[in-house]
Amino acid sequence: MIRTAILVLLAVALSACAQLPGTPGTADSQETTPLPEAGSPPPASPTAALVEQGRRQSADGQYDQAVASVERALRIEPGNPWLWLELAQIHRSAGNARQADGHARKALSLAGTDRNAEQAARRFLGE
Amino acid sequence: MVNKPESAARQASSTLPTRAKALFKRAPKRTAAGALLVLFAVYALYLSISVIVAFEGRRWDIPARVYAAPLEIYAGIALTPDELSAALDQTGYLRVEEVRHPGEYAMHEDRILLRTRSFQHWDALEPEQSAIIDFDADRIASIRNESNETLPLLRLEPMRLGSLFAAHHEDRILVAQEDIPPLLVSALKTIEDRRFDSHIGLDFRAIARAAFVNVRQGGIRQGGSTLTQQLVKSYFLDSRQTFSRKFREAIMAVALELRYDKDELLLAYVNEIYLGQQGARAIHGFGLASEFYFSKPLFRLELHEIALLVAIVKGPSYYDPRRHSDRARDRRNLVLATLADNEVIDEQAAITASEQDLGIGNHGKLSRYQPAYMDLVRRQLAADFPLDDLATEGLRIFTNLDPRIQLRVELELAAGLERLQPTESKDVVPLEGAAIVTRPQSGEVLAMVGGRDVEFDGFNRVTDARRPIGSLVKPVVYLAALQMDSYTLASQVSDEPVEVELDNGDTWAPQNFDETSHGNVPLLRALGDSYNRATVRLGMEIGVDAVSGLLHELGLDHRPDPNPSLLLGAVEMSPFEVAQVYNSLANGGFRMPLRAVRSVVDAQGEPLMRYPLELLPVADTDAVQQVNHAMVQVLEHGTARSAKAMLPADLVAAGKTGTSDDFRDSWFAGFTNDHLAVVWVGNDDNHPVGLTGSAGALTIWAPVIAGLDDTRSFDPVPSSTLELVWLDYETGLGTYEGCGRSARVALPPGERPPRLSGCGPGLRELGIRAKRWLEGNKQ
Repeated sequence: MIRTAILVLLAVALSACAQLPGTPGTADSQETTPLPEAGSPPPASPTAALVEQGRRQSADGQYDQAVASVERALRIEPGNPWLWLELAQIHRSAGNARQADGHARKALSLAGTDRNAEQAARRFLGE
Repeated sequence: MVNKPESAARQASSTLPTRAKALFKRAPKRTAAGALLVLFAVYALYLSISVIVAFEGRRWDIPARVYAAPLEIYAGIALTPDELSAALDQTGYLRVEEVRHPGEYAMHEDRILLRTRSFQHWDALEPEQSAIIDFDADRIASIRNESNETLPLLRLEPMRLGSLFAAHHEDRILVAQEDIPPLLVSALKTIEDRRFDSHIGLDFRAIARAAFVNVRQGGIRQGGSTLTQQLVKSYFLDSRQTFSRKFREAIMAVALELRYDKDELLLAYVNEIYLGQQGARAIHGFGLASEFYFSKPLFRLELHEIALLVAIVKGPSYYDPRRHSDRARDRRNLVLATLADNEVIDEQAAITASEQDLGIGNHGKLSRYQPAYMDLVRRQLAADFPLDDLATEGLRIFTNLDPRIQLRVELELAAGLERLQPTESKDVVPLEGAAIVTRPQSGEVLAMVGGRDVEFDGFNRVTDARRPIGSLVKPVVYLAALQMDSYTLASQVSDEPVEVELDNGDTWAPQNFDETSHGNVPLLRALGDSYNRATVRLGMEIGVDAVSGLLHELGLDHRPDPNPSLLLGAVEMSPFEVAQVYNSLANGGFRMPLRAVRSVVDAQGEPLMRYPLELLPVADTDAVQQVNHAMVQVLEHGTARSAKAMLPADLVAAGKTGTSDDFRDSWFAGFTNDHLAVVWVGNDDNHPVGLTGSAGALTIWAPVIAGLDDTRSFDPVPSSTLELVWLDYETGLGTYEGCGRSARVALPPGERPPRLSGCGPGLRELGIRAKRWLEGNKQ
């Protein structure tokens, strides 16, 4: 009972800050890692684990820590546009509009033919 | 009521002189002695206070500790068991048969069992953790914990580099009481101060013995100093052998003994005493000496190593194990024999240890002290921290230095310069070089080598050697052109002789390297083959101003003078500045300040500062992508094609050669998906080295890149507003893969040039397509 409640709360908290689509996964998408579903079991992929950690920290208002976590993920997968969008999102939450914009543009430049990533980045940039 | 104390004071002041006078009258001699005693007491008090202040000051003056980047491992990372083992050794892990304690690991063929120590990183405490790491060929296959659960990621404790020491150049690594090996304590007492536990700072028997010897030999020769006296001597950096100094030292030693207990004094001694010299850097304390001589932490030292450090105490210069190994060995063995005689160790252990090598030398290991990198750390922090804080506040600084890459670059630069050094001038002027490696997508500086002598702490060529960059400027010229809609990589430019009227009325007629003209060439080949005339013509068409401005946008801190000669690289830049500009290219047109430091925490582990990844779009991403494609062709068909043989067959890299006038400077700047490296080779006195960029710097760059196991091919994501086409490298006409010197590049849609005649989709092309289709189906 309590566990379910916590899970639900966690899911709500996570989805609240996850404005980006959870799974891009169309036929023409590239080797980008989909973001973890909120409330899913601990992910085995290192980047997914770090993104999840970053979201938790961001939700707690620990923006510096959240940025650090996603930067760790980026060292592993620097070409993943979703990770750059994740950073952009944290910067926006932290009120750092200039960096949010820069990171989203970087995501856009890496989206290539990944339509979902491209649209997400454009949406973020208000284009 | 209020007046009472005043009147009492007045009374007292009036009575004191009277009493003194009376005293003088009664016993002038005794009074004089008394006054002397008072004077002495004041003097002793003054000395006591100054030594206690020094002691307390040292106790709290903790230079900032600097850490390398932590190794983060996960399933899939390119890392062999041997590489992980080496990384663990450098962090002070102990290899054992069976893992029992934190900080130990065991190796079994394709598996490493590990128990990590807990470590306070910038963002979190990484708890102690047991891990089973399985390898598959040269990668990590899986990481699990004791309960067989998969660990997505394991962040190891970072390797500790040196510290940022103060202006007096004393460097030390403070050790805690519990990290001092008991054997070191007994050895120090036995060799330096037998009665340490019982004396009050002075050992009168030792003094008497020393005095006897000194009187016999005239002057002061023998010491007889206690550990406490040595400590005092070290605080005041005065080694003159005079009686007055000895006298002062004795009083101060007694003062310390009265104020502190033996454990505190011994701990201070272990952290204070001078044990070696490296250029301007003074090695203080056993913690740092252990790293300096043996590249491992103090608590990991073995008997023969402890004995050597204790032997060095007597004279770090005279017994320098690197320069005077025989003397050092003799004294070490004397120490061992003395320890055995005093039953601190048994006879057999002393004999075995005496037979050991000195164990000095870091060959194949990374030095803890990285002057060039530390210099960059200081520069980056200077804006946010006063120099004094860095030297005294016990800050911990987490950097981006990657120990594996740093070592790689050090070895390759040294080997490369040795190869390139002309034999006839070998003893006259050593060829110099510098190299820097960054992670293009984060701007992190992973490695930096400031010259042939890695440990030389002085002129840092990476940041301070500003030299003309020659053709390294060309990608910026082409980028400036491609940013204008009228050019693509297929656009033709004439390489015929060109004359430029200069402001001073002179005429400049640049030559090509091979002194011939190549007619009309596509931009692709003009950049790939580094044609000067074509580049100058193109640059004059778009305007030198645009090139100067773009260089600044890409990261150079100023706009260089827009002289036409800028188009051929008549601008002086340091390897660091080149790396900053090329990092923006490798990063797809996003500028990021190159950073050495990630974060800083205070002595209690509280975060003080973090330097996050910052980026700024500074160039058109499509234009950058085209230039980068052309730079891939530099290595494919152009001036750096010789690198192909030095790189893994399937690794795609991009880059550019640079050679300054009269072959004074040889440059190469290039990158893969994950790493950017800039190498400069030249002479400090600026006389010609006689090497082009490809004959010199490239031969160092390529092995550096080839040695990065986890670097991936440069393969930019095709932009949705560009299309990938095959161009003929010679003519810039359309062609097919595998047809002549074909090059895969990105062009704006609708800009595809007409096809080269005589090269249709022949059998070969159909074969390639069929093969690819089959391979695709297999997966």
